[in-house]
Amino acid sequence: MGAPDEDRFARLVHEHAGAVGNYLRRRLYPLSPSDLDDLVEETMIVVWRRIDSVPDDAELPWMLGVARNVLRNARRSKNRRSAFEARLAPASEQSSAEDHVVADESVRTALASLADDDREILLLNAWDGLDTHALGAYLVISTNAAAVRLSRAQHRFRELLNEAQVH
Amino acid sequence: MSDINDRLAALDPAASDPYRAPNLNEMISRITATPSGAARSTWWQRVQLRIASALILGSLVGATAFVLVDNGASLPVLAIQNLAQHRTTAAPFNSDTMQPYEEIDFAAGASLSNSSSSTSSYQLQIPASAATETVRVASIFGVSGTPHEASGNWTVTSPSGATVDYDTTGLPQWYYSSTTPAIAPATYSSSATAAMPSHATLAADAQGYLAKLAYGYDVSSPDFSTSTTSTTAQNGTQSSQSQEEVSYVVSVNGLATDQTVSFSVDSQNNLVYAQGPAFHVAVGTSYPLQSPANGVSTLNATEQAAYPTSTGANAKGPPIVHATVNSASLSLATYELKDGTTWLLPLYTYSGNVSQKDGTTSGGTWSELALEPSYVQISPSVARGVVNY
Repeated sequence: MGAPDEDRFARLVHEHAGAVGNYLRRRLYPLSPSDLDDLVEETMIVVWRRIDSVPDDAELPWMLGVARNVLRNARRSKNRRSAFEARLAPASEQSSAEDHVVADESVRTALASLADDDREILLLNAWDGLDTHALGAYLVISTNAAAVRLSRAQHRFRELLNEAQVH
Repeated sequence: MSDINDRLAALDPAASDPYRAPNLNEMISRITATPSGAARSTWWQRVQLRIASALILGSLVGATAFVLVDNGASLPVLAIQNLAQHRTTAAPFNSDTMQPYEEIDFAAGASLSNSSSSTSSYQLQIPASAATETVRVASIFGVSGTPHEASGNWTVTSPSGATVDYDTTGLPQWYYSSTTPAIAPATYSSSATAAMPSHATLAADAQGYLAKLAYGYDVSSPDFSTSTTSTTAQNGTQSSQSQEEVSYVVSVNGLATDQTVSFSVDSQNNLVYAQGPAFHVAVGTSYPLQSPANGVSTLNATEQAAYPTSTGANAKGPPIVHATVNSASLSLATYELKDGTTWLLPLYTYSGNVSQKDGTTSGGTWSELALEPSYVQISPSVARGVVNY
């Protein structure tokens, strides 16, 4: 790889490391926050190895897709290791996403009741700020399909939220 | 959705604690100094070691885990690796973003049965070729084109913009969408702005698609809903489209599953969206079930194992609330086993009351595998228990 690749990689890291870190931060459980820097670096290593594959018009969604796979691999490895090998502390002793949740119980209940894929696309939009074009790039589906999935997820979330607020 | 987005934003863990990289320039230098393909972090090396040791453990489990039943035969222990993705109804909460906010101490109410029984578990047959299945499903919905794959997603898009997606993550799911809004819907309402096709017409069309899809699974009674999506184009033009949806819960031998299939049409009865799972059900294997009351004990043990109660003067951890479980219903939920197969396993969905520390009481719903525990090995990662409270 030549200097142009290095320049582009450096720009990608400076522009998007924060968003990648925040993406991982939001989804870190059940991993330890102490692994966050490692996961960000692992994501950037993949970006560097595949610098020619990063699409110009969807850099961040593509990088978040890499981060998603890195996180999945990390979870698989954690799931597989036996307990005595645990370097990571038990979840109950670690700061997790939940520790930062404001007590909006209805929203929390509705989120918990959503299907996994609905929750994912809803939070990608609300938390990570991905619009339907970016969602399509992230999920590797068309922008139209992403718009439909997002609207479905929002619709279901609103229904669940209404139910949660009634009870 | 702005109000909803505001409330979701208030839950954003990164908003109050944003990520701050220790030193980006050092990381860039470290990474780019390593030739492409050889750059591996110490974290990745640790992962490889963990995976290697776990594979050995996994093979041992697979070779030895059988439990004798009364007639001298044996049933294989079901070693569960994970909850399959794409949950569509209430099911074990496998949150990627949260853990239970409060620890729950469960107790079986007097009305809960102590009787044990048995029911079938079903291995699911997944289409062998995702590419072939994508093309087949696409053709049923009139979408033709070359399938493209990325990260387990297969997509076929027609020149008109109609798309079929086939997601192989977890239990495969197919999605059809016609040419639809190019930007996110702005508003939603649960009424129509035009006369919609009758429920009978929609149900008949849905049954026609199900017959063509030929997965062979049963479905529940139809559930109809109406909605109108209003969108704003990039040039500011506003438009709206009303849809009528029919949704079914997939069932097997009369038991509801956690899978759904749905179809939506516009006012002209054009199909605009459809989704469902892609699987066939193999012959079931009968497994003993724990009684609903014993299942509560298992639920409690799971909760305690996952979130041990710390005691003493320096006790840490979430507050403990007490829940009384009063009723149980049996359904089938999708699980991935360690051998890579996907099964529908019996699941108790419990309802009861939670007594909060402030003296208030609220309703709650939880779930627990109904299988007799000696027939199950569950990965520590598989979250069970809290669904909704």
